[in-house]
Amino acid sequence: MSGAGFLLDLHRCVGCGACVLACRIENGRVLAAAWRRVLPLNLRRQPAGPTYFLSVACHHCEEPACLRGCPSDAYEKRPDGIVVHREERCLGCRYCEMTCPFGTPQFDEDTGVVSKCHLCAHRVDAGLLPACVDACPTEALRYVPATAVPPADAVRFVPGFVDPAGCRPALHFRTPAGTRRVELFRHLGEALRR
Amino acid sequence: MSRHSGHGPLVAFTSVAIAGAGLIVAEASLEVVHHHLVPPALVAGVLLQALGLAVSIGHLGQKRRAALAMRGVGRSALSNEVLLAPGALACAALAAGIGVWGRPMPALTVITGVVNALFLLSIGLVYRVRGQRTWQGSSAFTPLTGGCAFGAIAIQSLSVGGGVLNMVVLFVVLDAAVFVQRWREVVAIRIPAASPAGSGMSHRSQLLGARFVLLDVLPVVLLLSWPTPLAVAIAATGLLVDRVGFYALALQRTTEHELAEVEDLMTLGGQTRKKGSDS
Repeated sequence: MSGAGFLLDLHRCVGCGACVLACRIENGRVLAAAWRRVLPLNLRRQPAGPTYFLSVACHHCEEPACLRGCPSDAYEKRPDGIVVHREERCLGCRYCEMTCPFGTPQFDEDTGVVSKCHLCAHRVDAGLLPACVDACPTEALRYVPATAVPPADAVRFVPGFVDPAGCRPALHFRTPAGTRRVELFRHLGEALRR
Repeated sequence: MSRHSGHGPLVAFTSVAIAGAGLIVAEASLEVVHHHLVPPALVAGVLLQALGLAVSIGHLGQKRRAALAMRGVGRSALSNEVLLAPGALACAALAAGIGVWGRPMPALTVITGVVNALFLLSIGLVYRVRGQRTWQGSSAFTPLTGGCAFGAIAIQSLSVGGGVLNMVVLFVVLDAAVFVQRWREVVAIRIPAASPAGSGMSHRSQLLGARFVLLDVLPVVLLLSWPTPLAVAIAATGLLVDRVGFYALALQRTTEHELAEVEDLMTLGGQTRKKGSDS
């Protein structure tokens, strides 16, 4: 991994939302403007595909579209790969909302500026885990420091999570184990490629 | 639909700025081809552009930091547009001022036209965002072609230029060709049933069709008969519909959208499998 990021184990994530709540408490976010969200796939449990939850926030991309498009240099990539947003430089033009394909930047009507997940940089700098990772009861969400390498079985993309803007998100997944589930993933992947 | 809600100021800013810059480019073309300067058209263009710039600054969350928008010039398409907007306005204001109170300078008018054409192109390029499915391809050129078509129609229909019907036809045909291409691109996009896309995409043919008729068909039909202010009113409505449609048809490939596509695929897969087992 060339920068810090997350590893999400889809087999372990139960969609409890503890990560969302922890993020909101740590960063004082209301639910409507939460930096992290949990998106379910196949809640109706259709037999043609797997069911899992994607816990997503800012992916601290290697080529961030927000940083590339920001007219006022409000975004900055730290040496450890964490993409931070400098509110004091933000114009509130909301262009980053258009450029980020992951729906990460959140505009706050009260402050007139955008904000986003900073990977709890203040906690990371103090040697702690990001709040969302710390709160995950199943250890599905993990923090991968810039110096670490993701596990060999980790993949960058799963059905439902793509990189349409070539940002190279620093998020890796561990896909469900078990023959049938692996088959479903393979079929879905092939169908999506077609 | 893009998550960016409240597109009203963007519709207002781009409509007015495109109309103003288009008027100036059309006027500059008239100067080049017919050696005929029409100062009132330049003045109207300047006023529209100034209004557009004011609306643009007004929509910012932090208006006092507007000058910071130039920091990304060269890297950010939005910064490039921000740099060109006051430049285009300043050139046009100078050309209009000299045209009204002094001896017209054809070279300045031509430079003004070129800068304004670049500004129109920069507006299109701002929205060429990777991941926005309906803002790709020819959509980057519609502000330029649409603005020029509007400008030519305005000059002809208000009879301030007179005898520029050939220019109207040229600009409108060019715009129609580019817009039809955009129409085809947008209609070709498949929307998943469970997509969080806004209602705009379900009315895409109506929106695109209305824009085409209002900007590229009706004004020309009217102007072919006689110059009438009604043509410019219809073209202005067409330009407004163009911008409303542009934002209403935004379709960002967010994770939510991708998940909806996978759900669709699974539903289709399930149905196919069920049909296979039934037979």
